Amino acid sequence: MEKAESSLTKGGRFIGKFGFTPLSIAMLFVLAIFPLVLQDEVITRLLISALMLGALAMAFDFTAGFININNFGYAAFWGVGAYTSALLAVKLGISPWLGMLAGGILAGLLGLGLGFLTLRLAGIFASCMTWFVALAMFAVTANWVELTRGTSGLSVPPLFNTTGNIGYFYTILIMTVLTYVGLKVIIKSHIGTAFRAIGQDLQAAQASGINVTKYKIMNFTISCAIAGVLGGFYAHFVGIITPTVMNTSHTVEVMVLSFVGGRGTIWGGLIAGLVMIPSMEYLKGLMELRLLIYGVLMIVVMIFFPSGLAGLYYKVVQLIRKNASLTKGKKEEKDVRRAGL
Amino acid sequence: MNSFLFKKSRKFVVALTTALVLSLTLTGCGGAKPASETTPAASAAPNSVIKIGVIIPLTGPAARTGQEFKDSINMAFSEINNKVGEHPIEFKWIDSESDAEKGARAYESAIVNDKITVGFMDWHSWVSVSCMEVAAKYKMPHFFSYGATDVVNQKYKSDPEKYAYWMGKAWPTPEKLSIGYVSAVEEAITKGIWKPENKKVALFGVDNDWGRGFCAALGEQYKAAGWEVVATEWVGLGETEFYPLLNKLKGLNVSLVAGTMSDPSSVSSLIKQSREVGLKSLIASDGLGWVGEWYKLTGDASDYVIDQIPQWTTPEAKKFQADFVAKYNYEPGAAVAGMSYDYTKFLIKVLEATEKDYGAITTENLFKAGKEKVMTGQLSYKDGILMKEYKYTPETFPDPVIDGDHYMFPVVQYFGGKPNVIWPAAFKDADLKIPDNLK
Amino acid sequence: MDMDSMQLFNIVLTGVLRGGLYALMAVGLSLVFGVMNIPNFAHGEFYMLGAYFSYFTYTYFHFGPISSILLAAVGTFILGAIAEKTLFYPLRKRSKKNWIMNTFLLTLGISIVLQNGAKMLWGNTYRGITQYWPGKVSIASFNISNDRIAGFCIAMVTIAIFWLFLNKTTMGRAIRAVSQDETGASIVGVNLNVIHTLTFALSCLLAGLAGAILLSISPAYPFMGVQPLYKSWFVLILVGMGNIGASIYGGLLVGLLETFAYMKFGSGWQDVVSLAIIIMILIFKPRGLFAKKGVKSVSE
Repeated sequence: MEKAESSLTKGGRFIGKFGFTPLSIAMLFVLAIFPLVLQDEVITRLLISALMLGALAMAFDFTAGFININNFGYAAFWGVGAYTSALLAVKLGISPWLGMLAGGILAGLLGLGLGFLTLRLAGIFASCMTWFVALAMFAVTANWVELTRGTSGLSVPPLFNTTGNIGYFYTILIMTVLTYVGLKVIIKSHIGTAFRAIGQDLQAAQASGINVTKYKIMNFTISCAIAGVLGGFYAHFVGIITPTVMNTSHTVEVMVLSFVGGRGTIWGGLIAGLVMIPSMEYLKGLMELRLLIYGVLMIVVMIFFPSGLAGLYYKVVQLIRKNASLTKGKKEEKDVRRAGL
Repeated sequence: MNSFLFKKSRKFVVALTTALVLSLTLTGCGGAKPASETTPAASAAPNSVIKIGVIIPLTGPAARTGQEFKDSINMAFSEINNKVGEHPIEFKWIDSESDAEKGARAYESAIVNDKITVGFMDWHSWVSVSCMEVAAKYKMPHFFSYGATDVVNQKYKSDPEKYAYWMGKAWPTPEKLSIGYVSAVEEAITKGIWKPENKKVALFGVDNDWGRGFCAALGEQYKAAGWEVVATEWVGLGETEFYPLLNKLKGLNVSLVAGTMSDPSSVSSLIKQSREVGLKSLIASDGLGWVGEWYKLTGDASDYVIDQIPQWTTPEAKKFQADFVAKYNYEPGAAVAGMSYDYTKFLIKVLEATEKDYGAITTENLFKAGKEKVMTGQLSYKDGILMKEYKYTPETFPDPVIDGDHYMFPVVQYFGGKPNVIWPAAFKDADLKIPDNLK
Repeated sequence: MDMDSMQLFNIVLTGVLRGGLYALMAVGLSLVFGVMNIPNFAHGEFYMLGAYFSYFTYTYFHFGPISSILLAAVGTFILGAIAEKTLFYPLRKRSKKNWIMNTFLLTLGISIVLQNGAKMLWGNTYRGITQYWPGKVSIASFNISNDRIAGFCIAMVTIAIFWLFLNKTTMGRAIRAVSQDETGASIVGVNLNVIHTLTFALSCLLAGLAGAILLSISPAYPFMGVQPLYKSWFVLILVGMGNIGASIYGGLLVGLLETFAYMKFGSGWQDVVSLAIIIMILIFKPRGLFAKKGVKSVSE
């Protein structure tokens, strides 16, 4: 009996390294077989959107929630991935799978460049820099008509020859899981500690001998590369891209998910995506009122729950724990603090 | 350690469960229903409901246009008491949000959850392209989408079998229409009404698919007519500051400035400012009269400006315009509300013909009717308030037939907010007039 | 004049006219950032409200141009005060941690609410007028409409009055004191709550005024605020955040820069050029061109 328990703990510790817990894996499993059981194309498509934006929100949080820079031009990197993969497929006939990878590499390289550009900046200045760079990328995409067909849009071959959504669902599910695991592993390592230190106080981090340049650039590269791969997926999923994919409005969409989910948690953005995308879809009949609700929600979250769904969750847990046992509750409080709230 | 792990797992589980439960309860309700609830056979019953899924932008930047579509479609159907034969008509308004991905998602949801019988309309080319894929997937006939650019044609031609469900465009690729601007001006020159100082033209266009396509076509057509295109200027959507552009054009000393903008605030600013800076060129501004309130925004600066736009010329058209204002309390645009009214009537004709020739109004039969009757030109619509005849042939498909006897926008010149048709000869009210400072 | 100097004159003239209004928008944005540390992304929506206010007072209630514009200013001032009291004040009470980022998102929320609220209230129609003051003025061989001259003058007068207010009145000095050292100012007895509300409302007033002045150029429409917002952010980054006085030069400079880029590179690419220049400035002079000691640092 004891032996079994200890091996369970070991297993738990092992998957814990990847940011998982036994039960979260079970839930993931449920999510994975969900479309197979339900056989509903619309829900599957909705889940694809939710996962895609959720994954983007996680990668966005990797920068915003840790080194404390809002990459306000995030959608442009998503768009770079989309265009790279689409153009490789259209012009050279390269497989979309390789195209997505190439999209990730190019977006990552541009992210590297952006990292360099924002080196001396922090806070809102860094955000503005990312924003202006993205606006410039948008303008180039729209004006380089010979390559991108400009605002006319580029028709993109699909990822799968079958018409169902199921293939896309598993592709994006795997991408999302890999994104989560990858980001979690980095965050749990000493690199994550360095990120947090930079995010809290740039000067102090520098003074304590952290190589700020290296970590900042590393962070931007990873975050943008993920956006690039997901952009490639988007292009082959939707079948057409226009420069509007790079619009600030898309960044705002991702940013809201990551903030409503809870900054500095990684998983918050995914949960927010899985909750908010379907809810917004459900409210579609309300027209402007829906967007009004969306705006009000943002205001309310920022005033009353600035730590988002994750913060709310921790508060609930804290409350339950306190009632359950006093000593345990205190430890919990510490854990909550440790989670970066 | 154990308790820590346990807590972490619980965190993830609770969150995921909440997410799943929420997403299920919110959207699952419709989807979880057994698919057999509405079978095609049900539509075959004599008084079964016909559900029309209309893709339009109801929220976002193009919402204004979407609203006009919605109102005009409602008007056309209310004239037949929302009934085709014995079948009551229901609408599913599919909000594309002017976004390819969201549009396709909403369309798929309308097909699967709302079980629409037939698809209708669409405004943006990029939404058309992503929805074509969905229509092909569910074999859903979709009639008369506005998405004008060549991208839609290319997609259709890449696999005509697969994309045959996208049943014809309501608006042809830009170059098929823009020739009117060249012909109108050339005609005036030949007749000796205008002796331009030089044959130089400058083009301007809104920086999107429509503007780019239109200007490219217009440039070629002017070149073919012996004009020199000295500049092509792109304008961002929503730009209202044109002093630099206009002063540049003024410096180029061109006889003609021609182009298109789809945004009312941009186009009215351009026209007003062209007078302010004293631009000495004849202006052809496609889309100036696009929205009903254009004259309130532009004023007399619009005198002498040329536009190519369907007009409320026939008594039926004028009646429609008056009825529309009475019912919805705003001025309809002819190219938007007027055209979509005609195409709605065309759709009603298709629905009626389907019942008559194929026995029942089902999705399958509508596709057959579309393929066998509409695409071949056997079924066309001649009672439109704007065009003589809306017709497709296998040669033109997915574009409609464009010529003087079918589908052609007249070229007009504005004076005091009133349009005078100057081309083609068949509809002509007056000759092209040249401003005094250009003579 | 020969061709080159003609063109130069043209660039300067149009650039200055354009820049004057950018300055008006940017001063308000800069003020709120300098005093309250709020990166206001809803600034364009107050511009939009100003346009609507003046439209309704001008066309429905038949007020004169000047009184319509002034009423729009008063209207946006009141709305700004309400927004500060009901939204930023509670947030400030609750937490100051992550203040800039929280308020950034808060203003995005406000912008979404105002845009869609305006759309629900007033629909999708473009509401504009042809001209406040018909006619035009000729300078050399260039013609400029009266509206533009008047708009530019109103903008400059407003900025001048505003400058006097900030430098010569007790209230204005208090605002400046808060922007330099909030704690210090509150120790010497400045009521921070009043200053914050006043500052935000004044900033909204400036945006609303700009919207009202420009009504004949850009008609009132729910989503009209996006473009002016971008431009005012440009100005702010160019001259340095929170540097209120320099926003005036910044506005003119951005106006000139854009006009010049447009003339040389054509539209479309003009954005790329002006963005590239601003990115360069951020790299080499991250505090902006007119950085002052004591204003907000770049790496906070």
